[in-house]
Amino acid sequence: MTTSSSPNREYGLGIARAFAGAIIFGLPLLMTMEMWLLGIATHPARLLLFLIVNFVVLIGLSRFGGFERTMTVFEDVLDALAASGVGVLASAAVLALFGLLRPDMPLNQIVGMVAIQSIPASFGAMLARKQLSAGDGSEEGEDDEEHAARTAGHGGQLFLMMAGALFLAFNAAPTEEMILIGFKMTPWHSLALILASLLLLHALVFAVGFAGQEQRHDGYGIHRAFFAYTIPGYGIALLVSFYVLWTFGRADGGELSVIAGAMVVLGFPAAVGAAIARLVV
Amino acid sequence: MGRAKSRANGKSQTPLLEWIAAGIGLLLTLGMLGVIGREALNGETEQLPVIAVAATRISPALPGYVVAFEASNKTAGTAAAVEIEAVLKDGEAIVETGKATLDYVPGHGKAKGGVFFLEDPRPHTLEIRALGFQTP
Repeated sequence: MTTSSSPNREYGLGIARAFAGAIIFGLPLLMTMEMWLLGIATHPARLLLFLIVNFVVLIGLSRFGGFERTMTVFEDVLDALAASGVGVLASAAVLALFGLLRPDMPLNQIVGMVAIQSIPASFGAMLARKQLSAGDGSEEGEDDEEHAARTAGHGGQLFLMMAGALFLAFNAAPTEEMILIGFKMTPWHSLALILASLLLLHALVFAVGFAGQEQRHDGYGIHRAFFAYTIPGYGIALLVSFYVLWTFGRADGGELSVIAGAMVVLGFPAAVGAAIARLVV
Repeated sequence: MGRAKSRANGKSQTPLLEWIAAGIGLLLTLGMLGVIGREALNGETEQLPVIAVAATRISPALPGYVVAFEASNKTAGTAAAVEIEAVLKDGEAIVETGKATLDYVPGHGKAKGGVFFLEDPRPHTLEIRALGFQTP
């Protein structure tokens, strides 16, 4: 990598990595039956909104990582567009390979199926650079400093938590089991799961949240980190869970307690996603 | 990396490939948003599915016969867990009934399946229709 002098060649390698990342992050959902139907059955306005939210998240992720170092927000937009494109192409290619896209299908259906799958795939495309180029060597040092500087802010941290929660919640939410688990659990189970989510989130935030830094960020102690990151982090996880459930129509017509139960269930993976976001991005 | 070098020169250069990749991404994204947006504005998804089922082929099976059918949805409303019932009749008398379940029939889309009969369906009247569905 360090020997390549042409920026085009380098960008080409970045795109190749992005495709790999798109497939890695997209595969579990590409192989989930509910997702094929959700692409068709999700309310188009909600799907549209989710695609726009996803695009904004991609721009943010490009700020904090992405498959290429960026200087300006405009470049982040370019990267987000490229990641979206890679996500769409990778999803369409895999769905076609699986025999799920047939020429006699109406255009709406093909677009819907590809669009919903392109969300996790584009996420993977954006993260690919970081994940698949870990061994890049010494030149990373300077970049990492800048990277760290960008992510240092409290708002940035919370943004990453939101992105992580969104990704994991999106991965878990399509299955019927989210609602079923909510029904199986008694209110005591729900309370225990809330507690477990908070503890796990806090443990992960405290243990890995400040990875790569010798000292605790701003000298945050375990108590302050709890109020600065864990509590808002879990709040974000719950909100993201509700948003994902609503997008998939799983919150429609449900009683408040049923929706709350499903939010707590989905909040568990969302909280884990929020906690490890900094590690992955 | 390349970007770091150009930054050292004081100016960032966007590689041509980046423009191309972003351009393709923009086209795909806008196309996707356009198709889904049109659907959102139409509000067609609120329609109830209307599913027509037609037998397409009859061939021998072990034992009996298999009737292949195609269910096509005439509206934009998607139907899930679609129950298909096929009845063999001799005049008014029911000779045999068969059932099949389709995972889903998308709006304006098609799904295929088959029903097994012990009797040869050809000399009889075959009535095949959708019994019900689940709103996904």
